[in-house]
Amino acid sequence: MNQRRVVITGMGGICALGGTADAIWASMKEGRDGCRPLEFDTRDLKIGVGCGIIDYPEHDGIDKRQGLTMSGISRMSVIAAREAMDQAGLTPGEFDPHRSGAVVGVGIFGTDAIDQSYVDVFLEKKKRTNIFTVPRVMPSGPSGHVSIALGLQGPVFGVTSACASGNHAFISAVDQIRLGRADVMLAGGAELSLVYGPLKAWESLRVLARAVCRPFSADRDGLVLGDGATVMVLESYEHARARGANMLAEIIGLGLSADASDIVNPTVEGPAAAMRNCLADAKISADQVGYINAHGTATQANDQNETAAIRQVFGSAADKVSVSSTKSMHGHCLGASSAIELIACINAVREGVIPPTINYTTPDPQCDLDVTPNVARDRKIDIAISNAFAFGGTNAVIAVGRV
Amino acid sequence: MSNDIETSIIAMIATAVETDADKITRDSELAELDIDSLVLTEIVMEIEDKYDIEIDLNTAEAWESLKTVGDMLDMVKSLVAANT
Repeated sequence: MNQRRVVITGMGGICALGGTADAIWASMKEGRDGCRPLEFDTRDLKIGVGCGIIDYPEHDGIDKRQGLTMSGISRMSVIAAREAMDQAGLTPGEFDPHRSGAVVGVGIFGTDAIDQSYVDVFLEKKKRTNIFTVPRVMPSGPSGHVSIALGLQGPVFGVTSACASGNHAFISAVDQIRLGRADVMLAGGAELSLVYGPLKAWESLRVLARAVCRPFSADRDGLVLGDGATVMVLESYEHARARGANMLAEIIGLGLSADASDIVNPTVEGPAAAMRNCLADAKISADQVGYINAHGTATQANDQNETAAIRQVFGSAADKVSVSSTKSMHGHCLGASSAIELIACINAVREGVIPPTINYTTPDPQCDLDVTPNVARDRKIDIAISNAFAFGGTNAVIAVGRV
Repeated sequence: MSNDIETSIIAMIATAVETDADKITRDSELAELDIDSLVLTEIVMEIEDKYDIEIDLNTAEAWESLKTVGDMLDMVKSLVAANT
């Protein structure tokens, strides 16, 4: 069967590295660290750092009444979606709303709203929660709000797979276009991790770095959580060509798998299968891949495991491919992570620059790939893949290439 | 308390839909003021807080019978009366 090709024509984002997709990419190339002290009342939390968003727009253009019903995940998603639509040159009224949709991945839910409701009821002894707690909390809120803000009346839904939610959202969106249900899909991920409840829960897991995120470095001590969102405009190649759109990249392959093993400890086979499935879907061999944006959480388990999986799939090509974990810079934004990381992959292909793994100090023999330590590297590449291997053993890999 | 409630509710509606209170009368159509069922819920909540009462109301059902600001005022007043 001849498959519909899917291209990316717009990107929007906000995270600890900047308030736009371009600003985020500029920070990645410079190797900026988005980690800083938490700026809210942390009560009894031991953890004191995170990758909070910067440059939230002074006028976010969100309708006041609509805003009352929104969690931060929805606000960030709408801001990112608008930016992506602007870059794509898509204006409401100039495309078919019934052939356009949205899928935003969320790992948790509207954490700000659920935390506030507990504070209101248990601490402030209020009789009830905020009236809009339900729509603020629901994980489909970002998709719904993006559809409302941009007038998208085709397939609209949320997806969730913990730290792979962004990639699962892109893949679901590509499927809508491949299946002929839509011509334009807004897709990405959003998360608010830097809220008391989620931070307290992550502390219990004992996988948070004390102060610095150092993926693949022997002295790594865990992940740094972050907030953020990235939403992109995905379009069928024909739709983009017919309107003369600037195509930034093509999504050439998708790979899915599950470990079906342990809810938190990854297997080598699951991630390896997802990468293999992605290469097969793209009809490419491993040695054609120039850059892997690693899941690279900086936990002991992930980084060694991911290295083994890459070696298993890439064989001798593993020593030639550039790898990096941009989580060292924007933190682990859970459901938004892989969405932010696609900004890195697309721009790496477009500009021939591999963003670095920062805070790297000491080689780990179990993580012996070229992880692009500390400084970005110029390297012309044709294809990049973005890995996302989540809790739950839910794995999703995307390959992007030049159009 | 009746007129007091009426004035409070009109002020709350005015705030919710960002208009001047003196432009709202009993005959104003809710649809024309862009008031939806959630505005009714918010107003009922504010009334609960102000008079420290609890009003048992299914917003969706209640909304069906409301057309004008007057309808809304009468409904809220009767709910308050039933709960005090």
